[in-house]
Amino acid sequence: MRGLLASEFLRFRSRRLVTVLLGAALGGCGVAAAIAAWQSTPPTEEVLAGARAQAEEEFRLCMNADFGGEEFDGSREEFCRENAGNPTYYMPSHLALAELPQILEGISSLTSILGLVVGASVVAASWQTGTISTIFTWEPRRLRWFGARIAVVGSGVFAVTVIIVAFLSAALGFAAALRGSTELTGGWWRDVMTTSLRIAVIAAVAALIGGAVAAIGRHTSAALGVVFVYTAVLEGVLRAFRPLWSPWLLGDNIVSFVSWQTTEFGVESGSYVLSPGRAVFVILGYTAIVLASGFMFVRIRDVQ
Amino acid sequence: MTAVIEIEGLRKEYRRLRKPPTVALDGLDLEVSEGGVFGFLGPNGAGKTTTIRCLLGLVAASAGRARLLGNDVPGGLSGVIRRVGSIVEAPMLFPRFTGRRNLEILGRIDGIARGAVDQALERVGLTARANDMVRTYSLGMKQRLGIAAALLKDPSLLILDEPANGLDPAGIVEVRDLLRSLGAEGRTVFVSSHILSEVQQIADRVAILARGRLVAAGSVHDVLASGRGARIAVRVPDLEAGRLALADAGIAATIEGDLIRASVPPEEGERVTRALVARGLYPSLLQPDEGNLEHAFLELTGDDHQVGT
Repeated sequence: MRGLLASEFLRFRSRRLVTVLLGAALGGCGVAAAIAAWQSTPPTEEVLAGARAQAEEEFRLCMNADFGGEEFDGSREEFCRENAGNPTYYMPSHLALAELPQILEGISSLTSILGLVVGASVVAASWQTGTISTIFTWEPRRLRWFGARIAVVGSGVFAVTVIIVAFLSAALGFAAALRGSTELTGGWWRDVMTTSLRIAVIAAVAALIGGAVAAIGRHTSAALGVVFVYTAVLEGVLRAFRPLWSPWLLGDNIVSFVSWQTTEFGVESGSYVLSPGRAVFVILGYTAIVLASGFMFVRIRDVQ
Repeated sequence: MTAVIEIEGLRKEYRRLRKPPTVALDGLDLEVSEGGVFGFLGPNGAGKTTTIRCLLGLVAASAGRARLLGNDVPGGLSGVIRRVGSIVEAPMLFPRFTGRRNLEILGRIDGIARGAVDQALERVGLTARANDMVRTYSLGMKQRLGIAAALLKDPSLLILDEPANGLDPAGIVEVRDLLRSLGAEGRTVFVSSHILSEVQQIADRVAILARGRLVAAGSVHDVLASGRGARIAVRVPDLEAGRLALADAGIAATIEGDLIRASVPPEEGERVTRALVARGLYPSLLQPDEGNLEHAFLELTGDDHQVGT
């Protein structure tokens, strides 16, 4: 299995698509950071001091406020620090490093699409170029081969996403140091790390789903088309006509997973809750079903 | 001798939507013993490539049994695949990777060292172009890279589907010499080809396939004898008179060049002599005419060579 993984890894890193997409993503991060720095007005010491004072005041008010017995996700202190006690809320618009976790959440859809494209392309390429017959004459245990390729695709996309997120964070950090604020709130490092991890996990899941669908359809475009039609069209229709099914839809659960927040939605026919725990369960379920189908098709279908 | 390939009653049907299934192999029986070059012949659509695909586990047989180096296919294939090098149809390699990178990727599956990659490239004469992308290769170069990939495992059995496809005359001679030397090294080279003259020059044994069935198998000499090649070649001063004399004696004959080819087994040569001498035609030459594999092939496969791919 080690040889197979080594072979698949060499193939993955030799793929031009991977290097081109990674290069484009890193270039995009650099450009985004430069634009953010250009658009940002760095706060003066006086503004910073005022914002800090206002944040402390708002935090104090929040801690003493009566919320009518409403329960918080974490502690009241955490809630107030996050929602009222952040000095960046009280400054003129500028690039604040404290908001990095939210910025990272915003790029998760892009990294997921990148994962999907890479996963579908890396798997389907073997059928499109016909090299699958060469591969199977070296490793006839198809499930073993597909397992190795999917593992490499998933971990490869995970690593690529981590690189992109790290580069974007560093670029924004540099930009914020130059023309923004680097004032951080408590728990910032933890938020950045966990958000980055969730983004990389979702990109890897997208790669696995893309790869498995590509193994069924044996074509990159077909795989991307199927995933697009499902997530953008079918789930959109279901969300519109059967809103109470939303807790079982992949798109909604991915959003819930990335934001890692429990949210209750009220609709005409009732209400539903999206929580990170449910999101993990639903995403794992979808991934397992699609992967199992991919393995089955790889095993039973003739290779012409 | 040990059989390296054993096929019994192999059948492959391709199911088609709202159409009757296509039968690619219809109860094929074949045994290939160890060592030497084995030619696998048949017209387009006879089932040669399907047989190879079944042997390599790429397609599942509908019925029958196949064994490779003593292991059942596909169940036991993983146990022997390290000893089998193969090309199925055209060599399928990654066009955007270099020739060397393609071999490295394959070699890593079996933990084959880089040195072996260089050796394989050198053996097929691709060292100078090893670092170029495969998509820039000519068909012949791709074919040679495919052979290099097949040799990378240092296999005891080589299964090559039309290895001379796309090669120029010099390349064909190179591949012919290579296959001959591989066979001489004690490896078994199972080669399917439609270039019959090539196969005749390198193969010790051949099998001819038509409509998914075996129609002849054995040494090249035996197969020639079983086809239209089992004839007698005669030279007389008046070829047309000789042909008529034989026809009157109930012997079918044709004039080819300066010879009459009489369709009788060599052991019945006396009948030919009698018929000709009775008309005052004394042969200056009379010899068994094995013809060539092409004649035998056409005779044995009938009109099948017109079947499309």
